[in-house]
Amino acid sequence: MPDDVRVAVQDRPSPDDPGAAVDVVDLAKHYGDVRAVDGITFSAAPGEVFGLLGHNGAGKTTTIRMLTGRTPPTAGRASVDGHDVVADREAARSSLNLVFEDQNLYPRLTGRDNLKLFSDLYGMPPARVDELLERVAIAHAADRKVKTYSTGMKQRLLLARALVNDPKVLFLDEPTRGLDPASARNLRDIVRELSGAGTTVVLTTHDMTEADELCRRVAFLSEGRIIALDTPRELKLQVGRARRARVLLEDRSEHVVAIDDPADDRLARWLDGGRVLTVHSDEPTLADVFVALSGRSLDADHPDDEQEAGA
Amino acid sequence: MSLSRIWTILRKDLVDAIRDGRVLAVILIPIGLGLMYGAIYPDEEPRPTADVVIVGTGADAQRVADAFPRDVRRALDVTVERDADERRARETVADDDADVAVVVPDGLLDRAAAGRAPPLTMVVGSSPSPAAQAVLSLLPTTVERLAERPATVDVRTTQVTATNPAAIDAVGLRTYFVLAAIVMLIGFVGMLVVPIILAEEIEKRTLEALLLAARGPEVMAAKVGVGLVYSAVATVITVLLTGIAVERPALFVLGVAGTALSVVGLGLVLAYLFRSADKLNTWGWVVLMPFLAPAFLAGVPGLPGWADALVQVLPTGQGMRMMIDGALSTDVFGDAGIALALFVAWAVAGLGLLGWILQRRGT
Repeated sequence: MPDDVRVAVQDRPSPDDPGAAVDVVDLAKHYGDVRAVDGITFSAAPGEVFGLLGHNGAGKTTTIRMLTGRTPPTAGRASVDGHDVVADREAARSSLNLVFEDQNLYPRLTGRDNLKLFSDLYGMPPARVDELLERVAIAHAADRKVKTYSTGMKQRLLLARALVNDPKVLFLDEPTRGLDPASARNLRDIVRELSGAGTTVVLTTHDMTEADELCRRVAFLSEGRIIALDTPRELKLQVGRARRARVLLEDRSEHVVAIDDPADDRLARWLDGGRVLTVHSDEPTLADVFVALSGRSLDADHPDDEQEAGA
Repeated sequence: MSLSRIWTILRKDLVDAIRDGRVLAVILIPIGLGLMYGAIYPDEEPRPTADVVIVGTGADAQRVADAFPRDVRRALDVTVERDADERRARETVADDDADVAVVVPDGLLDRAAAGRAPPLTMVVGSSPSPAAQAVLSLLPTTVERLAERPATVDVRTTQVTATNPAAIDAVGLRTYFVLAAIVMLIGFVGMLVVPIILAEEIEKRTLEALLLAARGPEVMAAKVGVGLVYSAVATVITVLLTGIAVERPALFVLGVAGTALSVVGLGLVLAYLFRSADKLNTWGWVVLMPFLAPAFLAGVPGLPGWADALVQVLPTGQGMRMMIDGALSTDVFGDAGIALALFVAWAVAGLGLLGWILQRRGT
């Protein structure tokens, strides 16, 4: 991390949290000498949308694998809805569900049969299937084979499948990847509804705009460690970049001006002269913050990516 | 383990897998082969066939060898071979390579014509086939005709103990090959269909979704169940379509179930080794074919020791032996206890290896 960047890395749950829905303490996963996850600590409150952000190979997927009980941690502990994910794995699993990054559905089965399989596995009543098909707006295609579905429909079906057991904690692994803007917006709306209804959502994404829009807090992961954890606004403010404004003038020329620089009076002059069409604050994005903190781009691959993918 | 979850996954697999063209083809091929064998080897042969060895170096042996097939051609299709060595001819019968050996001494016909009733020795196996019995009753007539005198020879019949169970003769070619096709079918299901189903789940990561909702042993039990159900249904279809007789159904079912259970664990291991349904479909046969060969060799007499040992050690060989016994009213092979122990050993080895692999992978 560059020396001039000072960012909170401690967990700061909201003071009104009745208790953590996800509680992670010093969680680590090592594959031989490779430290895929290297002692991370955070918690998420009920109803919170919490973002896990980072470059490829940062440890996001391994973290989710451990939290969903699919990979045992090397060290540390984690609980979901108060159940330890190792010692009380079955109870933890009944409280959580996951929208996988891959569209891992059964393409030769219908949408309804895909949902019914998991509804039956969780022992839910048959009516649950129809209810979810309606909720994600694919009831009209319920009896079609999934291989005929569009990417957006498959993603909605994945979300329905992840909601089949009415989870207290929902993990979303790159949920809008490959979706058209309308489908992505639709999915984000459902996430907001879920959060409003008290479901905790842990989101991993490369899409910083999405994280900014959805997440109450985000944690930046890099090389298996949390390098920053806070609300998106605080993170952006703490990066310490000088305040700037982006100005569009009537001649269609665009300019960036420093707001706090007394020597730069261009904005005042343009305003006085009535030449300004639009003024926008030019604050850093979450992607800028990540680059400032980690010194690398979110899209950059990490040498240990393969290890994490195969975990 | 929850039986309800196992049944839910099993039901899904049964419906889903059969819609996969690869799986459907793998199941239909051996059924088709069974039907083909049933058609190639009809139940009722137009004429029974008999292999006869005429022992003797003289002219009489040659005359009998020439005359006998002509005399009986309306009733029996006889293939005659000559051999000068009586001991070797007896071995040929013992090895089930001939039905009857007939010892024709020099001067047989002259002495018969003189009414001196010379001995005519005929060698048969311990359980003479209907064709061998026909030879025993018809051959003296040929000698009488050649000697131009009735009741001219003293027929002496001796039996030799078969060195190998003549399973093919006992059960018939048609049933034998249909049973071999059934073993092939079980092998295909256990070592291609089931691994393809699991490999596809691994490949498409649907297995990860299943493992969130169900436990690993439940998922694997469902896959084993798919192998058993497909094997059972396809076996019933083959037996019904070919109409082969199953004299002892319980033993037959035990052979089918034992073979299926012993190969399906190995099949699941193959899924984790290949981890791709397409690779399995392409290369699985390389593993499978040597595994299936014992089914076709189990009833062949005179196998070399190593081949016989291989047949008896592999579950497909033992399965074939038990199914042949099940198709007959009496045992040709016996040793059902050994076969069952072997089935259990293979099943434990396969499923144990699978468990070890899964444990090492942390899944």
